[in-house]
Amino acid sequence: MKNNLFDIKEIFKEKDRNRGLLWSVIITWLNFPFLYWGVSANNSLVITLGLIIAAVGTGFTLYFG
Amino acid sequence: MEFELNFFYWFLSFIPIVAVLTLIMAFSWSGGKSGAFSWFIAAVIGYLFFGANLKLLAVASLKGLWTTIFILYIIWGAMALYNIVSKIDGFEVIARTFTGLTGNTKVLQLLVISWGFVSLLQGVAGFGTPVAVAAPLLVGLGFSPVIATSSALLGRAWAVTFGSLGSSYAALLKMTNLDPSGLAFWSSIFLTIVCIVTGLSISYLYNGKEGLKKGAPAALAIAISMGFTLIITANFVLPYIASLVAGLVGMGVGTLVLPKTKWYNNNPVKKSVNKNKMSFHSAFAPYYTLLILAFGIYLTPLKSMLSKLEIGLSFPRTETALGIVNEATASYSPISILTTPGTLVFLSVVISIIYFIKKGLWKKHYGKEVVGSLIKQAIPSTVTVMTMSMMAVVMMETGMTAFLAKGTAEIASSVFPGVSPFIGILGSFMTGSNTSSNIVFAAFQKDVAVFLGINSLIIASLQTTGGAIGTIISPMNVALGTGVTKIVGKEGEIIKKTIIYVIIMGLSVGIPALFLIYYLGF
Repeated sequence: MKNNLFDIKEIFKEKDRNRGLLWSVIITWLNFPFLYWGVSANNSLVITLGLIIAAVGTGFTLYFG
Repeated sequence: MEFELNFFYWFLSFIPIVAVLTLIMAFSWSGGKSGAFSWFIAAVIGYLFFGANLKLLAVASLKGLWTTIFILYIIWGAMALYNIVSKIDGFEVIARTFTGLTGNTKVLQLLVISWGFVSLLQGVAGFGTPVAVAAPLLVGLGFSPVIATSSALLGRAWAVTFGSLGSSYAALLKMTNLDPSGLAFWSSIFLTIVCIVTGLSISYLYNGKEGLKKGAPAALAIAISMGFTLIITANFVLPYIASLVAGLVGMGVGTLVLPKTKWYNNNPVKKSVNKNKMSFHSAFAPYYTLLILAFGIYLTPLKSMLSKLEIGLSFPRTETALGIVNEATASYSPISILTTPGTLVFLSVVISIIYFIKKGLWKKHYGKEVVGSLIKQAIPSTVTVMTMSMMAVVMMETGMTAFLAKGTAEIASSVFPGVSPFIGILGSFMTGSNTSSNIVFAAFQKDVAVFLGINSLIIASLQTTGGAIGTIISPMNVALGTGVTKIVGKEGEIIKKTIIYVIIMGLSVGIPALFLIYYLGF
């Protein structure tokens, strides 16, 4: 179905800017509490993972933006 | 040796900003894409050369994101408010009413629509909306597309900082942490100077010396009334609605007072022909609601009662290997949930929709359509604000902004107040937004002022004033104007026509600032 936010395959196939950027925003904000927990608990593993997820969100922006 | 080391770090600190500039201007990347890339570059440089660890980069990025919540709340609210009025064709009614009142004096019509009406729209919506609404309307009234687009771009600039319900001003506050009343004071003074230059510029742009002669009385009357209102509202009521109130006053003077004066009363005043059954007051109801809520909360004891509910995040102390320390904070950039401007705007949206339903103006499917267009319009600016903010805070917390400021202070030193507005202009030229210009450059400008030992409130206010002026020639805004007036490809002509006014506006605030700082000792 067109405009389905969860059809990642179609979003990439069509390089749909709106849905791609929406995913970049969703990934960034879902990652926020995770990364925040990492810095508050000073857990370097969580911080590294959180930064990798942030980089994935950035990747979405760079690809679709 | 020390100079070489400093120069090296100064040069490195410039790279993320040069990256934004190059990617947007030379490669036509969007603000969000350029911001994302530059955030990554800033983090890599911070890690490799400034001794930042992963924790510092994570904390800085989180702080950057947290800062955007306050700004995004306003942006999404302002866009929602614009969309509900647009959905019921309210702008058609508002514009037709105002146009009918100005009679047939073309220069007055141009000033009222491209300046007064645009300032009013900028007060509530922004993000290209004023140009998108006013420029086609002017073409419909018989103005050439180039004049229509250029005038609308010129007319909105002065209202940008306190427009969009103050999102650029909010960004200025968040990035500088300076006294809000001091920033409101100096910004409103400098923007009033720009306002006066704007009216005269539009008159001259329309028809050279003849246009200036015919338009000068209206330009001065509207400029003085809007500027005075801006100063009063920003300093004694609420900065977030200052452009909105000033725009309303400007429209009132342009449509109700000036057509009756000796300069403009030789043309019969047309009665508004309203094909739409909706009244002006119904179309304007969301803005009345917002004004009532803003005045009702901010000018009464309700504000202090409701402001108690604050949310701010605590962040740990971080330090780079070069010794740059960011102290731990218990409540970083707190937000008063109930009194923040975004809440007032969303409350106005809800009340207005209920009112429209009662009046039979709102159809069931409108809600879904408004949400759809809101997401489509707001996501690109959301991504831009998020990525630029993360980049700016990473630069600050790794020490890059401080290095940049120190180097620039050494180079520009005694003429810096004159250069300051042009840095703001550069910021919005490359990002298309006063808010983004403030996010990228406000902290840097404040740091330069601190290094030079000059008034940082004046310098930060010059930054936002320059940021507002720069929106006139930003390729993104110009492209929006040429798109809606169907003259795509004439962007260069628009920029050539308006750049001289941009320089004049920059000098009109930069020179008085030099005088204020170095001769009057402010």
